[in-house]
Amino acid sequence: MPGKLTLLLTATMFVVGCHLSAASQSGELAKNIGRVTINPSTGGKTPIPLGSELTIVNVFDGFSPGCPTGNRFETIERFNSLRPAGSTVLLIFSEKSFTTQDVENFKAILPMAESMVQGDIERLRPYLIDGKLLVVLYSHGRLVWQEKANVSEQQLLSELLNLVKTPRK
Amino acid sequence: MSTILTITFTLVMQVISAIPDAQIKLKPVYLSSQQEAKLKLSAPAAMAVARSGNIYVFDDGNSRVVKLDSRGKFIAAFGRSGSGPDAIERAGLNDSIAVDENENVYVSDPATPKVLIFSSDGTFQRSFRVPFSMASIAVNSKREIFLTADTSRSTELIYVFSETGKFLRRFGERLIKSPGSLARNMNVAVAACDANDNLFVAFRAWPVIRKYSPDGKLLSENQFAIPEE
Repeated sequence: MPGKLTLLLTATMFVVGCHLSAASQSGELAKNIGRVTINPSTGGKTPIPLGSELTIVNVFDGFSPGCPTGNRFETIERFNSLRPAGSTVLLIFSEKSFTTQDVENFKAILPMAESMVQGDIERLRPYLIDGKLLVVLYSHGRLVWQEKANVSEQQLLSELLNLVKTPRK
Repeated sequence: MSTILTITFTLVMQVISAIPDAQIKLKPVYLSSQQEAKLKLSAPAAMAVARSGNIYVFDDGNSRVVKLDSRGKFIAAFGRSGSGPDAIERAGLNDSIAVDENENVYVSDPATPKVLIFSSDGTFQRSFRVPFSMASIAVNSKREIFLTADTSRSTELIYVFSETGKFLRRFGERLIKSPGSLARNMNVAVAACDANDNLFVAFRAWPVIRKYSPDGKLLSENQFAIPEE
């Protein structure tokens, strides 16, 4: 009996520990997202602008078609064509990897020009997955969803679509 | 391996044929001796010849450019692998080098993808990123940079940038206009400019050569029969 109790206690601690750890990681990420700045074309640096409901933010430290970053762009393009009203998409290109002119060229060549912006994403560098990271923020800046490693683009797209369909209070 | 050797041999033969003095006996570059390690090329992918006669070989396997004089003598090697604006990733045997009238050297890196510009002595000047892979690069007398897009998107064939990397315009219908990987492969094309800044585009998978005016107007399109052996 004491053996079973110990086992139960250990299992409970493990589960609680995992949740606490995940929650604190997510909290750290949320804090760091708050410190990301973008460089609007009007000049200066501003925090991430939030939409009236959900803001889908993807940061890029690289961009290569056929690679994870290029595939992500295509996923967001697909999402963007389906997204319901109220959600906003923001694509932030790292100012360390992309010059202002690079981003202007991307705007001129690729779709979703209105969503593209250069910014300082250094605070998110530890969280990048294959040179990119997608997070979803609620209108007051709360982090409601974040990309995880080893998730296919198809799965990510369906999770995003489910997220925007879920009613929020 | 044999493909790489064949391409290497073809390129070396092109280098040799570009040399004006037929009396000069050259050793094939890829067979250079141990003492000439600097000349050792690894999967050379493309070459360009400057007005001066200098020859620039894109040494893909070493992520560098090798500069030879008109007699084939080694002058310099520049470029590096790794990451950063001045780094060249392997170009995958693309037609990835061009030289302008001032002998600035332009390298397209389809992996990152970006265009790197070096002065003739190998000094890195700048690079700029592009949102598509490239199959070929060409430069006209105004130092406008022409890139043929290697993309599955249904878009134009040729993108033009200024020497400072500003996107200027795009033009040219794809052979296969629909998106997708088959269309991508069919539309891979190499480009070259003539002395009047006309642009020639040849498709790799189909025997078609087009000629465009400097402002992007299609002047001619010729389909060539492939002779039977």
